[in-house]
Amino acid sequence: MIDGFQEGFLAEAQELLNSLEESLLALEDNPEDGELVAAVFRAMHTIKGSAGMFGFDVVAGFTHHVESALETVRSGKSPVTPSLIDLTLQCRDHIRALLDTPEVTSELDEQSKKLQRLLELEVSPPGTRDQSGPAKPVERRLISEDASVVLPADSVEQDRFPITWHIRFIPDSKIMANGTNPLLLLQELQEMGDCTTVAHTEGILPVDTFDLGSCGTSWDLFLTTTENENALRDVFMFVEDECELLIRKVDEIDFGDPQQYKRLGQILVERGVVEESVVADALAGQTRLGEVLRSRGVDAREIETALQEQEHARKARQKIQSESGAASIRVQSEKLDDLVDLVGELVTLQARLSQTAILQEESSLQAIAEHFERLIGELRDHTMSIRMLPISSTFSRFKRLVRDLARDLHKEVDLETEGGDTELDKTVIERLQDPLVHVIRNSIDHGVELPDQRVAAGKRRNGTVRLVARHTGANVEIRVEDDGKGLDRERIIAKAIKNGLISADTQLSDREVYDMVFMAGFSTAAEVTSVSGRGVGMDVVRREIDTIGGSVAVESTPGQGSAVVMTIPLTLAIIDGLLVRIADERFVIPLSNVSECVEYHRNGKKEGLLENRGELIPLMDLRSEFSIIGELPEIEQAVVVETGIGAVGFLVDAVIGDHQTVIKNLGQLYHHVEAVSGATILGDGTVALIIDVQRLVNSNVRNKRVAQ
Amino acid sequence: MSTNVRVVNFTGDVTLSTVTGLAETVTTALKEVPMVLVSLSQCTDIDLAGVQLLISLKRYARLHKKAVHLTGAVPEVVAGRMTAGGFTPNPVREGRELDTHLEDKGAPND
Repeated sequence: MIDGFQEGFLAEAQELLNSLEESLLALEDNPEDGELVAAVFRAMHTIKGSAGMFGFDVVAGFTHHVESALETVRSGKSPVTPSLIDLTLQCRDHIRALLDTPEVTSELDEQSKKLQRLLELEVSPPGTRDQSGPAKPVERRLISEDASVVLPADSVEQDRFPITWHIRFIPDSKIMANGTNPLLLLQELQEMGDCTTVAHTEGILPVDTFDLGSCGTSWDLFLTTTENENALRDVFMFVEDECELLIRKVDEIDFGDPQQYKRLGQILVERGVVEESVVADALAGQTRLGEVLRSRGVDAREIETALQEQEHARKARQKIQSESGAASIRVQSEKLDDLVDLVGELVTLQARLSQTAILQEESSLQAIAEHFERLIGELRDHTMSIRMLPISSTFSRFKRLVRDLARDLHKEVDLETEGGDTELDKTVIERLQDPLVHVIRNSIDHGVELPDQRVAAGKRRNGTVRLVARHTGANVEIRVEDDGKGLDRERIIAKAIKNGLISADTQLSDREVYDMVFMAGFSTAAEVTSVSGRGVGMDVVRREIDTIGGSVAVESTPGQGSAVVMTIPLTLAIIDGLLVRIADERFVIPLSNVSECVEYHRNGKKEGLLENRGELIPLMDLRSEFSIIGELPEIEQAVVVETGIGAVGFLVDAVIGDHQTVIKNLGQLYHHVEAVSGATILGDGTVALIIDVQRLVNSNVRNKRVAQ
Repeated sequence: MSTNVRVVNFTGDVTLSTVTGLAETVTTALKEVPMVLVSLSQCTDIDLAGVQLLISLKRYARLHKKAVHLTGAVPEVVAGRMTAGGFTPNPVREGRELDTHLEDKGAPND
C-alpha cells in the first residue's frame, strides 16, 4: 500500500521525469552543453536516491544503471549522441511505467534488462562493446547506502536554519607530496552551500626560489549551509594532520530576523584581532575604519577577510530571506478541490443571507450581508487563483509529442510556444490535454508538408507548429497554428456532398466550410493515419471543448497554413450566469454565451424564428424543451446565445438577472441528459439547472428542430 | 615574427607531475625575450601546483623586470578550478581576464 510519503515521492518523481524529458530534448539540440548534461544527470540521481529511500527498489535499481551510463557522458568519456538521447528517453518512459505499476510484471522486467543492455552498449568504448554481458542486478545494499548521499539538497536537514561558517585552511607546505589536491577539498566544501573562497598566495615565491611541489597557498572560506560542523570537518578527514584548520560559526540566519550583519569592527573584535577600545578609537575619526586599522598596523589580510565575511553574510541573508519569501508548499490537489467546494457552499449561503436580509427589510442585517458578500467575493477569487496553473505546464509536454511524431512521419517540425504563463484552472488544463494532443497530431500529420514538398513550395524545410495562449476577457484563447498547406476547401465540400451533409448547390462561407471538419463522421479512414489513430475525429475535439464550456473554430489560408482556435473559460467551478424563469422553474444560462435579451410577442405567430435587427434567428422554446406546463405570459423573453452554428434564441418567461453560479455536478444518473451541464443552489435553497448551450443546440440540430 | 614576445602553449595536464618542465620552458624563454605569453587553451586539467606555477612565474618575471601574461581561451575545467581555489570569483574563460586576477592575488612585498 502506498503511504503519504510514497505518494509525495510519486508526485515529485513525475515532475522530475517531466523536467528530465525537457532537458533531454534541449540536449538533443545542444549536445555540447555541459549544464544540460548535468541537469539530466541530477534529475536521474535524485529519482534514484528518493526511489531507494521510499522503497521503490526496482526503480532505484534501474535508474542506477541509467545514471551510471550518464556518468560516462558527464565525465566526458562518452559523447551525447542522438541514439543515446533516444535511449535515455525510452528509459525515462520506462521509469514512468515502473512507477505506475505497483507489481513488476515479467514484461517490465524484460524491458528493464533490454534497456540496460542497450545503454551499456551505447556508452561502452567501441573496442569493448561486444564483450558487454547482460546487466548485473543492483543489490539493495548499494542503493540504500547511496541513498544517503543522493538526497536533494533541499530535503536534507530541512528544519535547520542555514549557518554561515568561517573556515580557515592553512595546509602544510608538504600537503601535495602524498597526492592531495587541495582544490578538490575546496570544491567539496563549495558543493555544500553558498561559498566565498579567498585564496592567500603570499607564500608563493618567484619560480627560481620556490619548490613547485610545495603548497604556498592558504584559504579563508565563508560557507552558508545547513550542514553541521562535523560534516565540514569530514571534508578534511584525510589531511587533518597536514594542515591548520579553524572552523567557527559566524552567523546563524533566522528567517524572522531581518537585522543587518555585524559591522567590520565587531568581526575583528570577535576574531581577537583588535581590542574593542582600538575600534572605538578608530571610529572616532572620519576616515574609513579599515584604512585606520591598517594604518595602525592591523593585519591587512584579517581586514580583507573580515570585509569578505561581511559581504558574504550580507548576500547569504539576502538570498535566504528572498527565498523564504517566495517559498511554496506542496498541497494535494484534492484538498484544493475541497476548498473550492467549500467556498462554493459559502457563496450559496451568502446568496441566501442576502435574500433573507432583503425580505426582512432589516438595514443592519443588510449591511452585514453586503460586507459578507464582499469578503466572500475576495475569498472566492483567492481560492480560485490558487487552482490556476500556467498553461506552460501543458505546453512543455508537447515537445516530446512533436519530436516523436515528426520523426515517425519523416517530417521536420519545430514547436514554438507563446503565452505559456497564461493561467487556467487546473481542471480546465487537465481536460484540455486530449483535445490539444489531437489537434497537434492533426497539424503535423495533415497540415505540415514533407521537407521536400515544403522546399518545392518555397518554404523553409522545417515546418512550424505554434501553440499560443492569451487572455480574452473571461476566457483564454488557445491557438494551434501550423505553416503547412492549409485546409482544402474544395475537398471538404466534395466530401460533405458525398457524405450527404450538404447538397451540391449549397453556398457556404469559408467559416462554414471549415466548420464541417468538426462534424461527426466527417473524418475518413484515408485521412486518419496511424499516428492520428486514436479513432477520434475533430468532432471529439469539439465535444470535449464544449463540455468545458468553450468553443472551437478553424482558420485557414491555402498554402500558408491553418489555425485551430479554442476559446476556453478560465474556470469550471464558479461561473457568471443569467438566471431565467419558466413558470416556477429557474434555469441558469452561462453569461459567456449570452449576447442579448429581447422581448418576444407570439401574437399567434408560429414559433421558430425571431427577427432581430433585420436578422432572422432560430428560436428554441425552453418550455417545451423541458416539458414545463403552465400558462404562457403575454410577453416572453428571447435570450440570444452564441453557438457553434451561429446565434440562437432561447424562449423563456422572464429574465431574473445575473447570478454567480456555483456549479454542482448532477452525477452519473443524469450524464446522458445533453441539455444541462450541472445545477446550482439558489439563495432560497431551491435548485436551478444550468443549461449546456452548445449541447442543447447540437441535439436540436440533429433533430432538425433548429433551422441552420 | 616578433622577437620580443614568445608564446608558450601549456598542453595537457598542468599538474604536480608536469610543472617543473613547464617552469623551465618559460624561464628559458624569459632569458631570451622580455615577455612570454602563456596559453592555457590546450590545457586539459590543472591542480594547485599548476595554479601556483602561473603565479610563481609572474612573480619571477616581475622580479627580473620582465613579464609573463596569460593569453587565449581558458578551458572550462581550468576556469572551474580557478574559482574553486578562490583565485577568481567566477569562472573566467578569457586568458587576459584570468591574468588580471592572478596579477592581483596578494603578491608578497615586491
